[in-house]
Amino acid sequence: MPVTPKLKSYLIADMVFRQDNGKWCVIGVFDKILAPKYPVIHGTLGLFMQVTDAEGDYNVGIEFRDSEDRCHSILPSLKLQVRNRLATVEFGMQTRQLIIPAPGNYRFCLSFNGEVIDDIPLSAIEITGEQPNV
Amino acid sequence: MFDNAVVAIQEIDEQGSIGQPNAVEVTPSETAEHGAVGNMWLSPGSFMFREIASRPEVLAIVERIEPERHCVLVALEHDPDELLDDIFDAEREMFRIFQKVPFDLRVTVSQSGDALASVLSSGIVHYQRR
Repeated sequence: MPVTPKLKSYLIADMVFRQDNGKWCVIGVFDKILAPKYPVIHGTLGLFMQVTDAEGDYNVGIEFRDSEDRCHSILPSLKLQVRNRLATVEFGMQTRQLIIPAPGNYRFCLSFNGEVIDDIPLSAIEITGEQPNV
Repeated sequence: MFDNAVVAIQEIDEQGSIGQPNAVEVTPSETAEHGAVGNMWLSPGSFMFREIASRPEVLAIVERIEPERHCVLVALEHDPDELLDDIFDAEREMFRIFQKVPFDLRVTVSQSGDALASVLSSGIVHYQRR
């Protein structure tokens, strides 16, 4: 049975992709989304994660939940195969069309084989008139 | 990894040193390409859009986010049995996929522009026939 990994670090960004040489590119890092009105569909959002203590085959699931733990959207699960438990595993994904229902605090809930291992927070802020200094 | 190693050696020759990503074998089922269809967030409304928006009888697919659930509104020009069967097949699949996202599905046949406008103004418009 695969061991349960730990989330070591993460980034939310405008773009996440992997170069041909294996290096990940994370461009436009942010942790807040600003919009003049809600609900809003955020067009593209990248997630980059590093996990440790992983070995075996995993179905990685990510759910988008609000501060009251209501799930609003899910990502199709990702399969990861990790051979070396001592190494840090990096993976990222470029996602599209995230619905944000209202201003507030949200989290991406990361699970490996159905077991939640950590959350990645994201705030949604409503802007009126001039953009706030956040 | 060998191809990467060759590239790295060439770059080291040119630059003196180079950062190397970790070489752990990771096999994602979906590539992380920008814009990959497999990485689209799925909500009940976007799933219904994916399933039936190509049908000519569909006027609009709207998702209204209520405090306790997502309400998916499907407005049709008319409702042939075959299309209704497809919609309810999609609903069954939605119950399987969205076990953690409470939702309900409402299908209406819009006889007037006002009724359709009311549907369109009630939530997130995933699809509107032009």
